[in-house]
Formats: sequence, C-alpha cells, structure tokens
Amino acid sequence: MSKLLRVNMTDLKAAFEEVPEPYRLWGGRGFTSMVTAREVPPNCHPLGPNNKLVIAPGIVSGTAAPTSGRTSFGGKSPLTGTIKESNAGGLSSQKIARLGIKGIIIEGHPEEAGKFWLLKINKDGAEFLPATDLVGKGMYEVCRTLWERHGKGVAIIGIGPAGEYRLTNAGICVNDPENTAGRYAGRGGMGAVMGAKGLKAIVIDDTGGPGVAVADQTRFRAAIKKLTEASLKHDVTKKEGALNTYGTNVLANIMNEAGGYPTRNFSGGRFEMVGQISGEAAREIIQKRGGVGTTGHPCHPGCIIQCSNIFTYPDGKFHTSVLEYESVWALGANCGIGNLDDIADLVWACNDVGLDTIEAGATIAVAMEGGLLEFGDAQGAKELIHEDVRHGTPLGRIIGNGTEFTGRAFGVVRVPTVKGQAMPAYEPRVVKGIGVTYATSTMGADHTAGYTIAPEILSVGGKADPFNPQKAELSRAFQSATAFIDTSGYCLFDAFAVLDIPEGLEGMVESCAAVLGTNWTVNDIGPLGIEVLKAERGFNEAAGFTKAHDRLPEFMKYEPVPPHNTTFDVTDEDLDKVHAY
Amino acid sequence: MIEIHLYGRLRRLAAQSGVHRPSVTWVDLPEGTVAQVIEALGVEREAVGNIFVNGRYDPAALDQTVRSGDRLGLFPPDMRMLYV
Repeated sequence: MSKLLRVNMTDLKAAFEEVPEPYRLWGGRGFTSMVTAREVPPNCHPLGPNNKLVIAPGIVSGTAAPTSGRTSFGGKSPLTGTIKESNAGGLSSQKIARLGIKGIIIEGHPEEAGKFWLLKINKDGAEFLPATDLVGKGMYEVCRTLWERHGKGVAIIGIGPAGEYRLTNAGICVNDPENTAGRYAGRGGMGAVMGAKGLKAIVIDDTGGPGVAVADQTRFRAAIKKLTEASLKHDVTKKEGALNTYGTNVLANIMNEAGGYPTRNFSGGRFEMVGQISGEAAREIIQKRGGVGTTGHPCHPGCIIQCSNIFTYPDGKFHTSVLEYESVWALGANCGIGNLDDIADLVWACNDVGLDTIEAGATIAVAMEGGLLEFGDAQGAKELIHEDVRHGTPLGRIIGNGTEFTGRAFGVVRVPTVKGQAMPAYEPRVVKGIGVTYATSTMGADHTAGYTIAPEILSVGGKADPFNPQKAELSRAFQSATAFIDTSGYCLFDAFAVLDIPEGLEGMVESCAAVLGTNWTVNDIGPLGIEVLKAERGFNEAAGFTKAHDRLPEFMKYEPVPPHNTTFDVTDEDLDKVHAY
Repeated sequence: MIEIHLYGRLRRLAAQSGVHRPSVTWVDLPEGTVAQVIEALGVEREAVGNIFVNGRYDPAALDQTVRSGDRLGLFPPDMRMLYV
C-alpha cells in the first residue's frame, strides 16, 4: 500500500516507512499540516534542524481524476513564522503518487555548510547525489540539466539561488510538461527551508511504479464522471470558457472595472495601463507572434481546464510560462509597469532565481515607494533580481527577504502584509471578504486560502455584496472548503464548478472517498476542512500568534482607496468570529 | 451621457476597439434601465455576460436604473467569471 519517505539530511539517509494512522486519510495540505502540527516544534527556528519540509501529493493525485496534479509543500514558514502550505502544479504530484508514496518528510540539517544534494527517487528507492555543479544555477538551467542526466520526462522539484541563500521569499519550483521552470509553490519561503536543509533538487522517476491504489474503482469512476461533467459545463472552467480562453489574467480587466485592482503599492484601485497587460492583451500578442506561444495550456497532464499560457518573444520563441493574473499584477500594475514583455522578463527572472512572483512584486513596489526606484522602472526591477538577489548582495538579501523586511529597511508605512506575507491582487478595501481572508487565514495574507472573490465579485457559489462588511461566515466557509480542496489534490479552480454545481461537489468528495475507502459525502467537506484549520490554528497559537495578528495593516483603516474611496471597516469583533468554532 | 466600457468582442461597438486601450462609448439617455442602454447600443442580451454599474458587479444589473454620468462595464460571455 502507500508508504511514507523519511529523508534525514543530517545523516543523509532516506527510508520508507508505513504511513502512521493519524496521517492515513490525509493528502496534500491536510497531510502536510497534520505532519507539521505533530512533528515540528512550533517555536523552532524555521531554518534550523527541527523544522521539516513536508511534500505531499493530494488524495486523488496520480489517478484518472481530472485536474488533480497538485503537490503541497508544508512546514513552518521562514517568512511568516506560522504554519505554511503552498502548492504547485507541474509534474511532481502524479509521479510521487504513482510510486506509491503518500508523502515525503525532509528532516535534519546538513553537517557540512554550503554543501548541496540532489535526492533521486524512483521505483528502486531514494538516493543522494552530490549537487555541487548545480549550486548557484538558475532553475531553467537546472531543469534542462536534470532531464539530460536523469531522463526526459522526470519530475523536478528545485530551488534557485534565492533558496540556496535561505532568503525568506524563496519559493519551490516544479517543472511543467515542457520542462520549463514555470510552476511554483511560491508563498511563504519554503524554498529557504529546502535550502537550509542542503537540498538543491529532487528528481522523481515513476517508471515501473505501482500506481495509486484505489479502494473502490466503481465508485471512483462514477465520481470522476460527475466532476468532469461539472467542470466541462461551467462557464468559468469549460473549454473556451474564461479560464481556457484568456487564462487567470482575464481577471485584470474585471478587477480593474471593479476598482479593486491594487495599483502602485496599493495606492489606487484602477491602473490606467491595464489594457496593455490584461489577459485580452496577452492572448492577442500570443496569437499574433505565433511560434510556440499558446493559451489554453495545461500545467500538468490530465488537466481539463487548461488555463495556463506560454508567452513568446516577438519572433515566436519561448519567453516564459506562465503569465498568471497574480504575477502580471504584482510585477505590473502594483509596480506601475504597463508592458507585458517587461513583465515576462520579470516573471522569468523570479522563476529562474527562485522567488515567489507575488511577494517579489509587492516587495519591489514597497521599495519603489521607499525611493529605491521610480514606479514603472522595469529595467531597475530586473537589475534588482539579476544583479542583486541572484548574487546575494546585501541589497539582494533585503529584496529577497520580502515585502515587510524591505518596508522596514526603507522606512515605508504603506506595507501591505499580514503576518509578514504580502497581499495578492485584490484590494481589501473594495472586496471586504477577501480582506477578511487575508486577515484571518492561517497562512498570512493569502487569496487562495478562502477565495471569496467568487461570490463577491464573481457571484460564483451564491451572491454577496463586496462592500458589506459582515463577512465572517463567508470567509470561514471558503477557508474550510479550500482546506479540503487543497487536501484532495484537485486544482483550486475546480472550486468554481463544484461550488455552483452540486453534482460536481459530490464527484469531488466521493472520488476522494473512493480512493481511501471511506464513506465521505458533501457533508464531510466542511468538518474535514475545519480539522485542518484547527491543526493549523493550534500550531500558530503555540508559535505565539494571537488575534492581534488577525488584522489588516493600519493604513487600510484610514486611507481611502480611489475610485471607490472606501476603507477597510470590518470590525475586529467580526474578524474574530471567523475562527470561533 | 452614460459611459460604457467594453471588453472582448464587445469592443467593436467603440471607436477605439483595440484591446490595449479602453474601448468606451456613450449612450445619450438621461435615465433608463441597463437593459434599455444595451438595446440602445444595438446589442443582443445574449452577447453580454457580466455587467458592472459604477464599478459594482450586479447579477441583476439589467433591471437597474442608470443616469447620465454613470459608468457601465460590459463583459462578453466568454469572459464570464461570474455564474448567475
């Protein structure tokens, strides 16, 4: 049956063990959070020997379930000091799962400082190889080199120089089907944990592996049929629907029209150059340039939404994948940059050096506000990443440590973070439910943790008025549903379909139940999600977090943001209701 | 005048129909429902997906009354990120 791989970086030993009972029915974020809550001392130094990096595919990852190739990465975050889970698409989750591995727990601390290793996992087991000649290399080159050495098609998990320097905005990269460094478990600096443990990369080859055991095949097939139908029917997720046609960046014009598209370090809600960087613009440019460019690109095999893209240079050659809504916002509108080629350069730079694009863009915007660069200085932004972060200069170490650290270095007040993590591309003073999620999520300011944009702006999953400040129940419901989806292995974008089409939701939970051999129904989703949140809240509390940390930055209470000129007026009492369960 | 911002296939209704700049047109109605404004544009209801009125999304926007000085945002069905 499935097993757990425990990797000790002190002894350089990797051994398989039986999955302990407390972890048996979890996957993805449920698995990483339960392991972290049980095995990581909440007061440990995140870069020290007692933190762990937990890697887990979702419950249905590696099966025939559609759109289910997510890998969760968890532990204690060096950026926030809270528990952390961030997840990515790409090739890793299916290959880990098909080797019969439920999760990988990386522990310990290398004896030799500065020495880096490659962990290779295949049907024969796990071995350590020296990674000396990969040290300092960017992830695009690392991906190419590892396919040359270990076989075309292997999954690669890795860190760029930022992770090697243990910078708190270092993300963990997963290769995409074209083997570019395009997918990231970006948020929360888990790349620094991987770097502190001396692990440069992990290669996973599932050739000859046992596949994923499914307890009830008949029920499983019926369940994924329901989910597939819902996904293909819903306007957001269907073929030639919004996501498939324009990608997530379809949201740029929508959020801008809503006046909630944070511009120039959250000083405004509309960007006058949004038209130049929107999903519409990207699609037009991609189609015009031809070559390898495409929209409707799947980030992992078996995805039926296919919302990703490959952006090109004017001659049609590969430039970067992927231009997501968040990345384009962070390195574009939030920095006052209105050119997609510049933004693609900045996304490539983050992917190569190993930074989370959301945090990087928020960091650079705060640095701009602090006078380091002018807003709109794309060239200056590129130099910060390529000259400074990549080489670990003192300025690079400031920038690579994220938004709050940089805000302190430059004496900036308008620092849009919660628990040390920067806010993503939705203005909380306009869309108050997402503000509640930012404030109360166990992860720090995080949009995927409880994506209330859907019912507020997008009217998915029922209606809600974005300006109404009573959002506690909405955020709680979304946070717990999301915790379940993050556990399942399904991509969060399935949420659009399943929260609106009941058969889709049934299919999602019943497919998980069929894999594990449980009796879960839709009524179990909330409680399972709450169990994950409770474990995470418990960890955070023990790590010293109180309700005082479940707040938005002060400036959002008194500084109205144009064009709506609203402030964040959700009361502290209401914020505290979210986790009162 | 009611100011209308257009997206996707609907941009063809504006003089500036390129995607890189705002595609804006105006309807000279002192007051009317959003449905009437869309009709005045010569557009079928099926050609319109999500509608914003003065920067606020409203699934029941078609029945809302708008006046001179108001701003409408009209998105086509293939940009529908909102399910009504």
